[in-house]
Amino acid sequence: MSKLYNTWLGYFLCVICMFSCSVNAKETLQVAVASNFKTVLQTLLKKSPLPNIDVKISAASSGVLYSQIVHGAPFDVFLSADDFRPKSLIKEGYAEQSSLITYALGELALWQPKAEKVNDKVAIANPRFSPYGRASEHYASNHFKKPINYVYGNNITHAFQFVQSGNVGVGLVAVSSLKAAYSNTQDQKYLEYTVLPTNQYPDIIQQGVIISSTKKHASAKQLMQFLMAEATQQQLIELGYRIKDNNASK
Amino acid sequence: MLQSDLTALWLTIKLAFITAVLLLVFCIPLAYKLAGYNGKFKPFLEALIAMPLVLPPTLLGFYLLVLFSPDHAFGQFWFWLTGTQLAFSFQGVVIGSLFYSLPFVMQPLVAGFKHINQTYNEAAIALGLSPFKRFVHLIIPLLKPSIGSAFALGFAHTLGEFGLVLMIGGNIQGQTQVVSIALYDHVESLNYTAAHQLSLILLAISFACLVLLFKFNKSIVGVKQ
Repeated sequence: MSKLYNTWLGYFLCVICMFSCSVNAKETLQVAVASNFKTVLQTLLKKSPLPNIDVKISAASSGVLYSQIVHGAPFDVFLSADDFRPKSLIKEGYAEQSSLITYALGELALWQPKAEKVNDKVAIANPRFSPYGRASEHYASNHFKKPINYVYGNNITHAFQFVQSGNVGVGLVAVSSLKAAYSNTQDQKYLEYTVLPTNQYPDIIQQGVIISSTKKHASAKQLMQFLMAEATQQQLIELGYRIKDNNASK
Repeated sequence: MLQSDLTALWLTIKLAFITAVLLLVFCIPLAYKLAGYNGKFKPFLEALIAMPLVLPPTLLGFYLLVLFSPDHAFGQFWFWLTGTQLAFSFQGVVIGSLFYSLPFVMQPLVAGFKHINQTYNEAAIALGLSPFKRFVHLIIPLLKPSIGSAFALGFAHTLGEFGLVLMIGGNIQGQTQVVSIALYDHVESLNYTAAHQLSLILLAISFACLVLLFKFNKSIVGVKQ
């Protein structure tokens, strides 16, 4: 009886193997993505999927992803929302120096969807760990009347939500959030913004690296090349980012 | 230890204390009614009270953010009443915590009311005590151990509150930056030393509170026996 059982189990395992082989014809790439870039990456990949690569996205804040990578998370590529964390990973030996790319520059806008003043608060991303937040604070401290009543979002999307939900009248938010919200809803309030002059705040440099422990180097490299390709970069501009003119001088 | 961490620590203890006390005030009469109620809506009421156990706190926080908004009737009503805004304020976080810790206070109380020996109550009725007097002089003293655990659970659960405050707080020092948020900030900015220090203190305080409350609880039970 148990022999028969084992035979059937063998068949079953065989079928599973065959099935999983055919599914795994595409190589799976585990990509750790900063939350604010997650939907953007999905949009990019949906428009022009990478042949032979199945990109699995794990989104969290850059800081959380950084800690996970340091503690051995099985990621192949890390797309951070800043330049500090990828560089630290390289310095500590967790990521490859040669793979460092600046895939996008964040762009800030002043967003005040309603003419009347809700309150005197200003929503920005937390400057302690968000490069968007640092840039926002820099801009606000030079251009707003002091003292400024900041409300700190956990990230730039969270700052956006504070204004979107009507709890804060004014926010410094990512142009990409506004564009994404407009394309989803066609609501006019997402057009009531002013893009801040880029020379009035420090660059929001979003960098990516390949993780040293990856066994899928070729696929990881392919993803990096895809991100830096002319067509992708042009699309990123449409989605509300700026791009770096010369990646050689990073 | 940073000054901001001390502020966060004090704020958290204040928040947990106020939340637990307010919940006791609301929940004791409600639990009394609920324990005595056996109608067909009972499972629905119990499920409603248990909802915060299963809902993700960030979800609860997100809808409170929507509710607190000046675009919303509740937000407008609060502004008309107090002239202040609920989101990003200590009051707002207290209201959030009331929802968040409700089941932890409610359930021990309901269980406590159910287990009160009815012969005492009947004796009091026979002696002609009014329902109010019975409630104050008989039921509440009999319920003391349950009140103790309800307070301990409500307090301890609020100490560790994170997702909800993250959503509605706006990370303002002395107002909404509780310990869990300050910890998250330290981890996010890769300041692990500060994170370790703060979490160790939080751990010690939580542990001490729980030990004290359980000890206190036990002594009450002991006296009764």
